[in-house]
Amino acid sequence: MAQPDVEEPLSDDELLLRRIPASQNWVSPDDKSIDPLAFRPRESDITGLSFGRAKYDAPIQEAAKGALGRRFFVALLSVKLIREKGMTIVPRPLIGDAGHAEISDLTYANRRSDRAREFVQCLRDCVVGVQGPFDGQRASP
Amino acid sequence: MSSTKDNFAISSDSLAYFAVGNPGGGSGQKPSLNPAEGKKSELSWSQLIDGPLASWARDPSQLDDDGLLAPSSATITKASLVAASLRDHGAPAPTRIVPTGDGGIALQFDRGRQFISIEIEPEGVVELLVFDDGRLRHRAAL
Repeated sequence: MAQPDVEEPLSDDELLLRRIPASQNWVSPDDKSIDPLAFRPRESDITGLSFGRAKYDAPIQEAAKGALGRRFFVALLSVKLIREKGMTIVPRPLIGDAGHAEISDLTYANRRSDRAREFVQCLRDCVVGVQGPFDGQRASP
Repeated sequence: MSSTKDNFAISSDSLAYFAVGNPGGGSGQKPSLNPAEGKKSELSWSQLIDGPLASWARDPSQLDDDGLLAPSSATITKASLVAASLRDHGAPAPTRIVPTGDGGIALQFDRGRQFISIEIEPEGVVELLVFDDGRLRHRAAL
């Protein structure tokens, strides 16, 4: 997908948003703890693990980018904590999604490597909140 | 590793990570998995095997979702065999059983700082992964 020209740097005090399908039971119903599998790269994560930036979209708006008819939790993660774990976050704005960002260390191709598995495990510790579930609103192409 | 159509054999060395069987001379320190140590309520094996696994086997498409791949019937069957084998060896039930999102199923034992996962991959591989404080301490095919 084409990218806009402007990339606003990510600051340590920002929060990232990760959409989590409710159907997978990756969010505990009792304490809303998150399963590390919620952070395993998916087939579309070719250049990095996708996130939204909270300064661009509210959690309910991030969830709305998911498929119509599905429900999504949205995890909020601290950029500072992610960087402290040794991961690299890069802004990667897309056409129609200026707040898109990626952890470039995690891709679909490397998802089963030891290092990727450790990073995925560590991302649980970077979660500072969970909201939802909210309805997805993206119509099928 | 060995498996047949009707059962799934797990080595005694791997079973030692679940505080059952004989460690068999493994050099690494095996964590103890006492159910009383669990930070969350424990499910029973029958709740897992007759609950989500049976439900997924009846309709794997319920796990199809936005950009995710549901496990196949063969993967669900294999996960049931692995679960039955652990149950029959007296292992404590996992904290969770969840789809991996890329066609697999994971049995997870979440003990706070220690996290153990058995992953049944869509290619048929079954892996044991042991994490301590997010660090991968042990990884082996079962």
